[in-house]
Amino acid sequence: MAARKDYYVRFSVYHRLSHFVMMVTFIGCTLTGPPLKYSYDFWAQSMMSFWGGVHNAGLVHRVMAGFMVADFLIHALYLLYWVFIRRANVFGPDSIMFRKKDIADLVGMIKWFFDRGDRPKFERYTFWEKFDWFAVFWGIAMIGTSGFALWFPTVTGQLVSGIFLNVARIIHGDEAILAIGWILFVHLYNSHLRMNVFPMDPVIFTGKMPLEHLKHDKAAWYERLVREGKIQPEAE
Amino acid sequence: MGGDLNSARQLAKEFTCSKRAAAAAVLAIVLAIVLASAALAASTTTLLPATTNTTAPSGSDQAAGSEDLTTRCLTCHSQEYLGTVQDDKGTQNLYIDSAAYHDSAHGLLPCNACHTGFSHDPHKMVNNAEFFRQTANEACRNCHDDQFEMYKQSYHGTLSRGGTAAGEKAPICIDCHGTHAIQKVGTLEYKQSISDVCGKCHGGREATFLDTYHGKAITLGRESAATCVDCHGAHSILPVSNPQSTLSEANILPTCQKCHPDASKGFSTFLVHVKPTSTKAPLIVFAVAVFYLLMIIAVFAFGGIHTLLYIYRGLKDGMYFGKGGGH
Repeated sequence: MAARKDYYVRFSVYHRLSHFVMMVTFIGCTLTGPPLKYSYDFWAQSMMSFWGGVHNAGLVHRVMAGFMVADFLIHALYLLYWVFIRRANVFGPDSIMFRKKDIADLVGMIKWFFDRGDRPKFERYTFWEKFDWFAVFWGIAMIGTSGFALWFPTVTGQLVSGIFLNVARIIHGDEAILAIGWILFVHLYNSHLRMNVFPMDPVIFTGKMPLEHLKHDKAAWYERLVREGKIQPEAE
Repeated sequence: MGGDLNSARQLAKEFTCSKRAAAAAVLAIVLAIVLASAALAASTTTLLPATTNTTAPSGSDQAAGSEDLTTRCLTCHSQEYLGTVQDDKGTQNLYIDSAAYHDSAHGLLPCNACHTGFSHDPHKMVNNAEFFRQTANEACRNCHDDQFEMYKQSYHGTLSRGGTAAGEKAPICIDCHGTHAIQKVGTLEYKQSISDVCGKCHGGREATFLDTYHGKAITLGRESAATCVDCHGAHSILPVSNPQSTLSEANILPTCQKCHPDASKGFSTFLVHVKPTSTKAPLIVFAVAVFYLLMIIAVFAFGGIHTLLYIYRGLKDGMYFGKGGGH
């Protein structure tokens, strides 16, 4: 019997690459967009000067957005492949789709926060990870569509009323607040500042999740992997 | 004995006087060198005329003949202590920022190019601010007749001649262009100031303009971005309801097309002056704005509370300080 590996490869090379592109393009858009939105704030002017003006920042923003949307489209193809060709169970335990257990898990987490119960035994994706994924999926759909509408305003004007440019601007700006706020204050905490991985969880870059993290964070998944023989059981 | 004392005092006094004179001479030389080097270093900046230099009174008479009118006026009016004075028309500021005037578009003009009626004799014709206001447009017209004719036909021009209460507040040339610090209209600084200028009377419109891409871009220094006057027109400005307005039903599209050649009728229905969360906004704009406001609150309430509770639990278990380790 081979020595028990102390980690499990949680993210494939595609997952890691996809997240890396998302991360870089997201940071790029975050550094170029808000200085325009908050043009009246003291930091906006110096941030714009860093890019060399509104025009250059806009250029960087569009290049970043292009790669982000490409990342999104490739992910859409990846999902179609898994759903229609690999016939993955969309509502199964390996899926990122919400299911009934997530509600029970949320209640369980709140109980655990106040020491009224054990930490829920999570499956492959916790409900906040699912939320992260849905937020990005919904977010890119909204911010991307509105972004293209604003990028080509005269085309938008030929297709629909100019009022949709007003609407697109609200969506683009507010969706940005949602996305940046969520990443900074929720995603970064839940992924990196969580008690057992503090101050950083490198799993999204290495793909490798230490088994002790896996056992604590996603007990149900761990047990299933052991049952399926994908992880060797702990030596007693 | 008394005489001796007197003569001794006289001697001492004369000695002191000559010492003072020498000190004054040294001071004058030092000052002259400092002023001359400053003048050389900053040749674009006009220094105060020699008449203000009380340490060298002998030179002033000689210099007076070559001084132009502006220098003579600024002798007094560039003194900050001149400050404001009260008269029956209210407060007037008599101080002129000399540097700003010389840097202005009119920096080479003598004062009486605009303040007509003034001669070499200072204050032969002292008038109050009201007089300057009344004569300002005519003074501008001397050089800018074309612009004045356009202004005359404009809403602002018509209003200013109306003799109504609104007419008294109607802007004349100097209300939009400024006075002593008047700028060339092509500069970024002037473009950036336009929404402020219009906002003096059209305050709400300024805020909504600054919230558009045009407003944000011009704030951040993008010179090509449109300001108020690019859409509404400048000297010949008319209310949007006027068929002759650059933004009337018939004229709005060509106005957009000045910068957006591919603009369509639909494009021109974009609303610049709309506050999305106002009930006056079109329903779809208002609905989307409110929807997002509520969603932002809901999402951050959920995410924020969950995160805070997670931190709370982590701290309670001592996880962040290596006391626990079980998790």
